Amino acid sequence: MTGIENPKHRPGLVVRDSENEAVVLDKQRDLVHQLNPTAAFIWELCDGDHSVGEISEALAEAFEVDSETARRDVESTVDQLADLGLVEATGS
Amino acid sequence: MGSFCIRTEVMNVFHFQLLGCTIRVECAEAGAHEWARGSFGFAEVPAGTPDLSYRIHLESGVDGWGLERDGEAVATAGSAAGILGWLDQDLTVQLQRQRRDLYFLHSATLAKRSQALALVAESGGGKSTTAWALTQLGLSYMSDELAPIEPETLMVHPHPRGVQLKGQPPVPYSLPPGALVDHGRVCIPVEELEVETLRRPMPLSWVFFLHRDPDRRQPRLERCRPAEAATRLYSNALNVLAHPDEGLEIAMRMGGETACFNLYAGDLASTCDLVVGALEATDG
Repeated sequence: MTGIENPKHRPGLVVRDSENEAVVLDKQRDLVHQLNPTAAFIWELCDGDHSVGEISEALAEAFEVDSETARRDVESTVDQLADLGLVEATGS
Repeated sequence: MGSFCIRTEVMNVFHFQLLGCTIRVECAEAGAHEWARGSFGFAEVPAGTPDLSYRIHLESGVDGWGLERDGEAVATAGSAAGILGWLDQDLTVQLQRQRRDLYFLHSATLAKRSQALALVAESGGGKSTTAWALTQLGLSYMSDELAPIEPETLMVHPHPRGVQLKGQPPVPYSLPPGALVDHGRVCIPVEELEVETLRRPMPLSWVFFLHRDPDRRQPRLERCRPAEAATRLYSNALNVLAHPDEGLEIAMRMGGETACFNLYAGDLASTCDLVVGALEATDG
């Protein structure tokens, strides 16, 4: 786990939304990513102002899943976004 | 006064036109000339002032053929087919420079009912073979390699080079008599196709992302959501930096405004039947 508590988007990314999904263009790494609705929802809240816990609560409510499942999904997604260089810790 | 004699040799030169650009090719060797005509002869035009001028010449050494563009050395190759491969690659780059207004997608293109479909796959992914097989089911031919697209209208221009296969097609498909074969490379001249080859742009209506697995027999088709389609289209675009917004907006529009599918290819005939079925079932 990366341990990022308040994830935020890395500057310089180009993002476009489409039918509850997102496309993220990382020009620095020459990569383009597709985020499905769940990942796009989590991504949207990675604005530096929401903790992983708060994002989990929002996910649980929006997708009608239990808290534990939501927390696990959020942590896993944030980890993957961090590994891809799409999010970083607030204050980075 | 003595008699005089004028001896005229026909140069192995011809002109062809792609995307409004006139290209002159001079070949110092008959084999290369045959391959050049096989690849681009359909687009031949009368001689005129070229935008690009290529010369294929013979060289000593292992690589017996050399390619120049406007007097500058471009590449060498060990066969006529090989040097035409280099010409084709260089032409793809030069056309992007000549036509920066177009969005170039690495895909085969065909048409049905005056609507275009794109077959997108990585190199070696079966675009050309699948495109050629689809012409045998009546789809009109536009290109086996390049889809130059007008960003505003999503109209696809034809790029009618001869179909280039990387080897013999699978049984029971067989090459037409006029196909050129050299060092494992195959070129099927457009004139050998049994369908119409289009000379005018067509609206892009369908996109198939081709996924090839040699062990898979039964093909499968899945509708592709716009975001995934946009991502795949973007990663197969050749000149994104020539367009505003790094070309992402165009990919988003294509993903949202066309019917997109993931095509998990199996045996060739079944795969083509699946594509034709999808075309008939969707409005595009």
